[in-house]
Amino acid sequence: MASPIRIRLRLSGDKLAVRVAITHEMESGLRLDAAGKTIAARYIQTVKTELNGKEVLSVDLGPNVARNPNLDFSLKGAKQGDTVKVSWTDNQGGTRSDTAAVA
Amino acid sequence: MRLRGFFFAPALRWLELLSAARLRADRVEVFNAAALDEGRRVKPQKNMMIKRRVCLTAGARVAALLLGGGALAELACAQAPTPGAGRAAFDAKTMNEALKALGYAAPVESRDVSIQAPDIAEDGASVAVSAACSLAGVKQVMFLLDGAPTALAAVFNLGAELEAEASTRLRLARSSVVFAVAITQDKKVLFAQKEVKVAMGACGADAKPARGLRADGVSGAPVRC
Repeated sequence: MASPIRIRLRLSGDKLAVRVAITHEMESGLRLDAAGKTIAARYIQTVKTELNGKEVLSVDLGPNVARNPNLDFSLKGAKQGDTVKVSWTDNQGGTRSDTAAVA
Repeated sequence: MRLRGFFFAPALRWLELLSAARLRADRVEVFNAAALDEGRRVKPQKNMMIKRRVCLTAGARVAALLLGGGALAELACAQAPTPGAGRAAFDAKTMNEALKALGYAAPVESRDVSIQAPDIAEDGASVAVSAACSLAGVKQVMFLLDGAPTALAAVFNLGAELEAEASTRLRLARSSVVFAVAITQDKKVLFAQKEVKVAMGACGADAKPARGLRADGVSGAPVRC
């Protein structure tokens, strides 16, 4: 079971700054293990963000993104009580989704 | 004979030949393959050249026909959202190839796009980069690298509620140029770039990528990047 996604929301005016921190190996598929065998690639391919159930952002990632990726972005027109749901899917079918409410 | 086979190649092959660049590449390939086959340097003969010219012209015609037929479909596609599309772009080696795989033209450097990244990154395993675009109607913000096995790192498909800004952290195996590309609704492709010097690459020491520390600092495991 993948670790929870940390979602930090900061509302200033109607602009909502969102910081998403995901715990994921983001294995590039280029590294070798101690025995000299290639470690299979395992990285997040898509991160979707929903605001009150409506998809507002999808991010496609490749193996060039650092492990435990951070994504920062800003939403317009958000207000207190709104919910932000973030979910990711990796190339081996692993997935996780978490929700946070605007305080 | 090689050329004749080439000329009567199946329709799929013609589709592949759509772009002019691809045509040129194939022409070179024919030369090289011939030289390799015969184990010597082959100069293109005059009649070969003519046949090739005929073949290329015919190819261009087929391409024009296909393009004409596909124009409507392309219009329909242009309006469709693109999230998740174009995983193939992540295999591209250069920025231009990646953008082409996503259906965009070559990018133009612009002051409207800004990029923030450190001048010197101590650890290439995690380099914070952010991009913003001052124009209205930005639908995608992307991060790309040179000096990595593949160019494309991340694509933010922005909905209408999103500000035209994004940041994330990239993995740099060695000192690289990081590109931020912004795509607007009217298909403008703009970029900004920033060189990042990496003291210790994501795959070990900068000078010796073949063996060194793992990205997470655990020593001993040989790495290859």
